[in-house]
Amino acid sequence: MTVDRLLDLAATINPGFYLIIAALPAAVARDAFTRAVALIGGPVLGLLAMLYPPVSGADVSRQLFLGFELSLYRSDSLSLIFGLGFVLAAVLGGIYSMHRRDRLQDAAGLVYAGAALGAIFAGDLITLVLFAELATLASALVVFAARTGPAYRAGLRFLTIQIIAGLLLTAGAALYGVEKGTFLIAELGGLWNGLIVGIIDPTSAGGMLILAGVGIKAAFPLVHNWLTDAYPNTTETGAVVLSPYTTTMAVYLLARFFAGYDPLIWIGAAMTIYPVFFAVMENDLRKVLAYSTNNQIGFMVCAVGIGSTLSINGAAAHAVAHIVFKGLLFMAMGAIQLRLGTTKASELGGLHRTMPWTALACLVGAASISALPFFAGYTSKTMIMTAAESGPGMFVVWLMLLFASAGVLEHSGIKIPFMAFFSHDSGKRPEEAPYNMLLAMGLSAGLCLIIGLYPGWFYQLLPFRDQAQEFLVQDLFSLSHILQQLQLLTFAVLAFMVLWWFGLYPPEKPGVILDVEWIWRKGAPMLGRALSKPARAGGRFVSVLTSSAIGGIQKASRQVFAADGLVSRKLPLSATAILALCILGVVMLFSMFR
Amino acid sequence: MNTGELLIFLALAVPLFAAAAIYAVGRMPDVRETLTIIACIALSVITISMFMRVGAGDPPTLTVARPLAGLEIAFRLEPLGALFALMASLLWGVNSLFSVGYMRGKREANQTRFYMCFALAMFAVMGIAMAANLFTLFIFYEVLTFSTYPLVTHTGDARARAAGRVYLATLVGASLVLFLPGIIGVQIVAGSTAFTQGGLLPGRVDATTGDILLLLLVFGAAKAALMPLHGWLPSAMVAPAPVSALLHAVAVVKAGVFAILKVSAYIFGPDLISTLPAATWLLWIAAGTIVIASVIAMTKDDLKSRLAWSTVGQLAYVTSAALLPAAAGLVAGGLHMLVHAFAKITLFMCAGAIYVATGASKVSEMRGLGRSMPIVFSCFLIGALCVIGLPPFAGMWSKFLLIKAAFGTREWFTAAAMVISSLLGLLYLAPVALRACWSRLAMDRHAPSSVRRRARTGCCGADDHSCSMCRAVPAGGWRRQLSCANRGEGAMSEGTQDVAPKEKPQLGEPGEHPLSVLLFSWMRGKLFFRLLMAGLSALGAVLIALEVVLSHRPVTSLVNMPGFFGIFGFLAFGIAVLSGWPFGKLMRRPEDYYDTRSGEAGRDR
Amino acid sequence: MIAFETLHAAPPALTAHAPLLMVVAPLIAACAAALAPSARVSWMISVTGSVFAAWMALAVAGEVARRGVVDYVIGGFAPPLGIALHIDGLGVMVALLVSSAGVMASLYSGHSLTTEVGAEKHTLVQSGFLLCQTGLLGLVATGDAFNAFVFLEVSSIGTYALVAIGEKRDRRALPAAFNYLIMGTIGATFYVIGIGFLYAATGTLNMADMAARLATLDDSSVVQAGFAFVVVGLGIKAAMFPLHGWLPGAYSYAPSLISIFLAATATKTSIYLMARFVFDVFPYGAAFGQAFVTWVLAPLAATGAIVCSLQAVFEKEIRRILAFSSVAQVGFILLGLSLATVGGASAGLFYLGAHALIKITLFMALGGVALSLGARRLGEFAGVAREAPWSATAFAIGAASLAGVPLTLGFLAKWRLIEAALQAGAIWVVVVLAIASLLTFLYVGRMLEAIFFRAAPAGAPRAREAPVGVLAPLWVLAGLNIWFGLDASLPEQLANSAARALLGAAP
Repeated sequence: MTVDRLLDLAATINPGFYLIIAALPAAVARDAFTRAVALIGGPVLGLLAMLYPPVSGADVSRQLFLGFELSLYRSDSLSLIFGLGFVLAAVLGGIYSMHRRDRLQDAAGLVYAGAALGAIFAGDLITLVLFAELATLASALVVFAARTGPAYRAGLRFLTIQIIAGLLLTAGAALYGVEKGTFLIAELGGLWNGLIVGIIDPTSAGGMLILAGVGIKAAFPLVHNWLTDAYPNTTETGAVVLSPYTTTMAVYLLARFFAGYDPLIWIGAAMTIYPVFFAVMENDLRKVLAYSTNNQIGFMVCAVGIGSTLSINGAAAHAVAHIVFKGLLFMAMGAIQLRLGTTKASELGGLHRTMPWTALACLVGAASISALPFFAGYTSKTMIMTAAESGPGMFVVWLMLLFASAGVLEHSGIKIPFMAFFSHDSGKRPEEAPYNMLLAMGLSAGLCLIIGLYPGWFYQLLPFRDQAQEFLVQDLFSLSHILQQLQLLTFAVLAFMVLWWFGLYPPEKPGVILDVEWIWRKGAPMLGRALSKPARAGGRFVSVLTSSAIGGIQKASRQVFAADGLVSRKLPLSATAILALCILGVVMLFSMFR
Repeated sequence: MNTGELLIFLALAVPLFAAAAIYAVGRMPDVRETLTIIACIALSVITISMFMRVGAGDPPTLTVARPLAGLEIAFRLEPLGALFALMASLLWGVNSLFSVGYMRGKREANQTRFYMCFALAMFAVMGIAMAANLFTLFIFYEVLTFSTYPLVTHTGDARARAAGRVYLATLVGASLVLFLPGIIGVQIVAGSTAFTQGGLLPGRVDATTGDILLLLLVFGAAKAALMPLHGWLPSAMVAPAPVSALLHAVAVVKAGVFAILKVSAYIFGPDLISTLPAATWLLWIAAGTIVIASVIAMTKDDLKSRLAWSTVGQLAYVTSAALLPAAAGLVAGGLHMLVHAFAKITLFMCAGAIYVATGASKVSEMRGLGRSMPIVFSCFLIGALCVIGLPPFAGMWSKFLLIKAAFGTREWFTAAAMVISSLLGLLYLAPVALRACWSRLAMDRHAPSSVRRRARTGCCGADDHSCSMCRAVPAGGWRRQLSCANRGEGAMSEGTQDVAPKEKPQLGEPGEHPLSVLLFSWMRGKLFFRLLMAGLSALGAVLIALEVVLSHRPVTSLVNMPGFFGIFGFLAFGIAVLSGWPFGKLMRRPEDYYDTRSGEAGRDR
Repeated sequence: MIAFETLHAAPPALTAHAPLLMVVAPLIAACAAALAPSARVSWMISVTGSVFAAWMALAVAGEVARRGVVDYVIGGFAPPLGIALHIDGLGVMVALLVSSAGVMASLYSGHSLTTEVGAEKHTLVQSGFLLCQTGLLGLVATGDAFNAFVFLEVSSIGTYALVAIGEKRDRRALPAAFNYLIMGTIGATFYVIGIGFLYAATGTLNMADMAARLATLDDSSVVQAGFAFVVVGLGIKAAMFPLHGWLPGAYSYAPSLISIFLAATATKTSIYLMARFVFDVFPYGAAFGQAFVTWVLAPLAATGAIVCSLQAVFEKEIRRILAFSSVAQVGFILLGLSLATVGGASAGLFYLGAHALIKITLFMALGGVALSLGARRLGEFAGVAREAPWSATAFAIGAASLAGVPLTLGFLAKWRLIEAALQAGAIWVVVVLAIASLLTFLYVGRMLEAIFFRAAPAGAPRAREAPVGVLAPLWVLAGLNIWFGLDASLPEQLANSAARALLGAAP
């Protein structure tokens, strides 16, 4: 009986807490076994807690705290699919970083995953903000854990931008909650097709703030730079730990709060396009992957903006699939980073000779992200494309997505594996990745294939299950879809070969590509230098002015009042007598001519 | 005298008696400090039991004296005061423990005076916390000023004396010129200065009088350091760290904001406040204080000075809270007062500990110290995050409550200032700890790339145990390499030569992995490339053909045309790739582009 | 709280003649002291006389509380002809002040004189001191305007001589005494001229009669001229700014016994007399009285409070600081009185009492230390707190009280003053008070910083703790500062009844 009751109690705890609690042993453990138990066990516990009570779509745990009604744990099918993705990522990331005995990063990674998971299952805006901010802190620690100068500075920038997002989110949540009189998600909006989505009015002030905060976390255009800045500066495992959560959480929040908000369509479409061009130029392959993340999130944002059951299913599915295959690609790059200390394309090439397993995994990931049929990406992205295709007046958007699909193939499908593992031989012969990395990559690659080959179980988990089943049966493997996708990919690869053959493919050159980060990394310091001189001069002027004014007053009053000063100088007696007479006169005058 | 009154009496008597006793045994440091600690514990017990009793039954009241007709020195226990007393007494204990270490560590002179004045300050704080009327509050407020003056000037040098003068002149000046007339004004208007539930003044003042009184009372409590009366706080930083902790966390500034909270809650009351224009002006001033203080804090390299400016900003939060025309603001203000006290004392103790241990007082001198003082800097980070208001630390809640209250009363400026200041707080507080811990290699920006690369792999843990951890790994070739990297000496930079796989493959190139031979070796050479190209072309043709055959769609548009996807894919890919030429020319910069001419976004602080 | 109504301090036989005894006792003692065979005996006589006078003052206080006013006719001649003593609430307050200050000063004098004045002059000093006391008490007790002049001069002559005796320690005492003599004489002359005018107009010298007759005469320019001479003459005696030139020197260079007594009483009694004339003898409703108070007295008081505080801030000699402070505080008192409300007068008189107590404490503490140190300048007091902690602490208490630190009498005095000003709607007075208080705080701070927080320069003469004979009265006074700071009902009661006596009829 007690066991049952304990289990019931355990099931009312937000799954994120299990991961966060597991961070404690991970932070202090010095032996491999404890670490492994914490790194794997925490997420597994979270998974169990997540699955134990069947999805209810209701608040599992409500608390009253400081006068707020908090819902620490609320679960429905939308949360669940994202939660699954996070737990999966946590487990894979744990395995992947097992070789690296870095307690700080392990613990931070677990807290990060747990906090993101907690945010997914938060039933009210306050709990959500809390978890989101915690996730921010933990993620920044993951960046700092690289313990290098560039990582420190990148981490600081990352933290700053994330905190700005968090503050916007906080302020927005406070404002929106105050306006609506409740912070509970369940009370903010009604059901739509059986789910609470699109509940926040983005045109209200609070809604705008929330959208801005979430937008930064989702790396909307012009605020995307934290992503491409931080990821390449992490440790070889850091990017793997970092990549699944923040942006995906943002997608979840967009779906939950702003599904069907039209501007998102265009924002998403733009997000898919511009990273393509940056990725082509970029030399650092991990940075290419960061741009690729940006691009993939664009697909999801666009889908959320479309706001049909199909597109939201697509966004959720793509989010989870993306976690897996993008994780896989980052893992492959991480292995290279571990072995060679760099992922710059200009210094790589021909690594397949000694790292074939990694190369193979990378190829699976590339195929997945390129949405080759029967790989994970295809299963999810097709939904988005179909949703975009079917919408009225969506032609341009659809074309943009299609262009982006070709672009994805370029940077993630071809450039990543080709430049790293094939291309011209760099002469480097690094050792194959450690076993734990290979295991993690193998599992990820397996998942990519499983999702791609047997999408049925995956579709079961999607938010709108019935619609997903319908799509699975009617559309997913329809010949036209497969043909179209294959055509696109085949000819794109062909284009690559032609360009390569004729030497038209831009060479990989070392260098940094200018991005909006220029504004704060170069522009702001320049502005600061330009302004500092006049500002300092002005400040000096003011301080000199005040100090001389004070000094002047002091000096003047000293001259007047000091012992030998004007007032205090000894007057001759006659003077005092005359003074007395004067006053006498004044008094008399007043008395007589009143 | 019932229990409640006894508790009030004891809360006042214990620190006062402690001060006398400390003076008496001043010659014996051990006894003196033991006495201090005992007094702290006793006082904490008293305040805890007071705190437990609050809200149960009639609040105990103790009238000590009636100096003039209509004026009483009286004490009464109410929740806000009990909270303040509890906070102060607990922190006194903590701070005393710290003081013992600090003062002995630095071999400071006049330690007896230090401990005695500390106890006297606590006496004053207890009086302020439990004051039943403004008159009593004012009396103890002044006692606090005078009892802390010797602490501020503790070092006794010219700088300390100058700071002490500023300290006294500002605090006493404001209280004489503003606070006292304000209190007397209240006395005249209301015939009393008693703290009354719901406010003493409502119904007794017109708007103008109310405005004037509010301005007098809020600015008069200059301990709250509302601009422009904030100057004393940064200048008082010359005092030793425990004194700074006392000023910033335990007593002095908290007494200021506490006075404002009390005035707002019990003299004016939220209803009256909401009708007074002066409250709005003060809110703007507070908002300005929050932002300006944060900006100034960013420019300070001296750690304590930075913290002092941070305090100025944080106090304005509480002042704002007190002036928000909502009872919710008061709760938030009380909570923030408490939270900030605990966070700030942490920060100041850390600053003190760093100073005692290493002599570093400037932030720029603390780079890399996190390696040797991990606990101190971790504590600092926690305190900083708490001040900034990030979860899972308490500051989050008070800040959220404040922002919510500000939004609830539609005070946009206040809310915006709080949000902005949180961000600035992050920028000036967090890097202190972060840089100390993780910026050791920040100097290596121009070091040879081999070193940096080694660093980038993340295996450069300087301490021994990361090496030992690597050795403990059960098996796997990477262990050797990692240990190499750990041992340093650039092994990693020549990693490729270093890593000579043991096995000799039979096929393919020397050193090649068998799987690679199996999977990829046949791909090399131009022939394969041509074949692949041909194959792909054929596949493409087949696909288009298939589409023509299978598609039953009429060709109504370009998109429905067979082969559209293929052509689109080809063109799109081509465009994307070819764009790399012009864009690359346009936007590619040398790798050290951001590192040159201190191009990093701001110096890392 | 003492209920004066129930106070029967002396046997009825003495009580009946208490007003006279109060004045005469010091006079007799003065004669006796002059003839005393030794310094010791003269001191004992001095103490006895002072204590007896104080006792009688208490008895009078009881009588006044019961009857409102005590009129005593000397020798049975009725007022228009004979000399009458007339004591009301105001008089009682000042009488108590003077006589208790006398007790404290005489107790203190036992030790101070031995170091400050040659032994051969002790008897004379004590005699002069008692004479001075007689004058001041008589001034307070008398109901006759001309007698007031006589008593004023009696006290003044005593003090002129006593200031000059300070010559032994500081040559500057002589010019200071001379200065004092001339100014005092001018003041007295003005006063007596004024009385002459008034006598011409009313034909009486008895104040009560004068008041009755003046009520119908307020248009007479003779009366107005008389008024002008009286107030200006008393203004000089009260060290009203800018007629205070004599005071810093007189206070600074006199033997500390005299400084103490003068600081507590001399200006206070003149203020008493001025208040009596302005509000009581002259019909206050008369426009010229109001004009004087509003346009002359209040502005001069305010200017004095600020200017002299500033002078004190920049002054380097510690006793001159206190002297300037006294002039500034006279400004405070007059500001309170100039509000011309019962509250204002009460606050002003309360302040008067408080200031007397404060200044006597300060001068006594200073005297106690200076006895051994012989120091005058601020810098020379560095580190005194270490060597003479008891004196220094008492000084600190007095100084805190002067600055208006809470829990002291000075704070309550300031509180009442500001309260009265606010009640009268005189915001500008509040502003002046606040600024002057701030300045007060500054010079007090300077003194305390030197005494407590600065280390003595190497090789400087070491101060010794004052002897018990000094410390005992000193600590009684310091204790009173605190005690009244916690419970000021006694001075409050006195000040209230005094204000009622003064302005009872006025709105």
